[in-house]
Amino acid sequence: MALLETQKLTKRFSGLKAVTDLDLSVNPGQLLGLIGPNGAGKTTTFNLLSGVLMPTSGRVIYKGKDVTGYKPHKLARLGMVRTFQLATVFQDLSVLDNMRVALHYKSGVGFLQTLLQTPGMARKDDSKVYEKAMKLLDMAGLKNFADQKAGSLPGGHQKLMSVAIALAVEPELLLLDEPVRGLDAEEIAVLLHLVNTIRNERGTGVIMVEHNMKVVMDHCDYVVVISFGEKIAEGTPAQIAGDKRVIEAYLGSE
Amino acid sequence: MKLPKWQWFIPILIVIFLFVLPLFMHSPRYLSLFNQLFFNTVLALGVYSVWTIGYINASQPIFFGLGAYTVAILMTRTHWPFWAVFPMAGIIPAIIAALFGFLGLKLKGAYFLFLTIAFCDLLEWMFMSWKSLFGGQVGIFPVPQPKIHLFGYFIDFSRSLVPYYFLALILVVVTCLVYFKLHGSRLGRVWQCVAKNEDILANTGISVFTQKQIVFITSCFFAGLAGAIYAPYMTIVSPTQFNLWQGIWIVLGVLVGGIFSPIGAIIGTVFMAVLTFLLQKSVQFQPLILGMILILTLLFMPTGLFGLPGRIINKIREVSSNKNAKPEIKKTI
Repeated sequence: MALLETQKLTKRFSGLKAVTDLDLSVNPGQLLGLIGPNGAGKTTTFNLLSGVLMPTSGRVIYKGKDVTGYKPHKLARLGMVRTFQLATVFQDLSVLDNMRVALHYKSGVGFLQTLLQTPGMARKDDSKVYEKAMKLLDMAGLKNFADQKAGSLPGGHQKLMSVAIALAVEPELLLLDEPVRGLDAEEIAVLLHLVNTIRNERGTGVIMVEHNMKVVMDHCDYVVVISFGEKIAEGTPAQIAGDKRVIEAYLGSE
Repeated sequence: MKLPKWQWFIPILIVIFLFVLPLFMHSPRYLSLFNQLFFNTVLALGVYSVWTIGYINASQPIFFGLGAYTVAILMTRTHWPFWAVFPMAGIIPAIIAALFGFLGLKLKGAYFLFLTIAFCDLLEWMFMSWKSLFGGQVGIFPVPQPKIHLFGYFIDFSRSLVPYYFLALILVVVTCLVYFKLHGSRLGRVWQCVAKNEDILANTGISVFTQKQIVFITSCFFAGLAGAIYAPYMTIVSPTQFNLWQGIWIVLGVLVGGIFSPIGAIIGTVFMAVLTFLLQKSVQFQPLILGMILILTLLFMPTGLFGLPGRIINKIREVSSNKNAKPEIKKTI
């Protein structure tokens, strides 16, 4: 069974068709690349999947359940988490505090527990969260930056951090919006290693919107190409690379 | 707020001092100053708390008033004892806050402020016009005095202001403990993040709207409890006692003290109370001086009085390091 499926997903912005009849399907552990020229509707698609926008028509099915129109936090609780292109971390907080906030929901400590717990209980809870946070930062290669302000990190590190924040919720489906944009070769390697690790170890499915064709062609299992909101091609990277319609969409027809 | 261990002595000493103060201070003038200060502190902490999630709440005195009216109405009509009515004065404003928040907390920033302003006027009008319940312009008078039997002692609230002083002080201490604990915890960090980026927060599974509701309701709950003490303390509850201007003055006090910290909120409230007290004899200059202070604060002390020492220390360091650097520059020239 597919982890996530969309059926005829459509979004119109007052007449403008941003996404039209889009069918997608991701399996656990799969890395799906979503590519297309600028303005093709990739980010809109992400917003539809993650509940930021409500689709005009069509359905989003996650683990066999219709989750169309669910709020982002509900989807996150079900294990569907996304990252953002810009403004990816809490800039004023330290890297560690970013992770603490990200781990808050999973820690299960709510308002009343926070209010009523004894200092001993709070310390125990804090150290548990601290360990988890450091483990995630270690995975993202950011352990040495834990005490720094997140906003003072270079953009590439912030991108890695945003993935670490997303992983705090232990997602089963990860939506990455241009994850390697602005990253140098080394950071790209760390990020892809991170993504591949969670795919292999936890069977997390990943959808990636990306303009970096080398990354898409080398790492994605399956690629969907959209242009003007419509799916124009899909297949393995090799199939896509030779597809005439794709080349037309990117370069224009003769 | 997380304080280093030794710094805990300061608040503890202040609280002990406040608890023994009535032994030496009998003047009703000073007692009422302190009582007013305690009420305002509870409201100011509420303003701070709601500020952390990115909103300015000018309607705290109205929830304070709702608490006061709750006590006044229940005590005059049902003859319930004060202790039974007291929690109701927190719960009823909390319920109304939940309804208000359900509509209002979907708005962003300044729009929420405007909504609280409208809400203040609406409720003031309701207190005025719903005569059968709120007593109209005259209000409710007299509010019965609480009678408390504690450990075999009978505490008579009608004879002096001292029992009110202690009651209000205990409420302030409890409120401080609750706010300091919540805002110093990881949950407090989450609340700070609500104001910064709701999208990332929602993606970690936190319901941003619920968190906003919790913060807003908590602040109104404590405001209501403060109102519960205020009603029998004043013996009269009327619409003119709770209005928008008080709400704005409390927000301004918090700004002057330093809105980025609960300690700043308390310092600002104390500062405003002392200033109003000193200016009592020259009431006509009060708005002038308070207004000037506010303008100066906003222009030159964005972190308020509480943040001022830190800023001055930084400035001095900067200047002294510049002085050290100067000869080197000369050499290069």
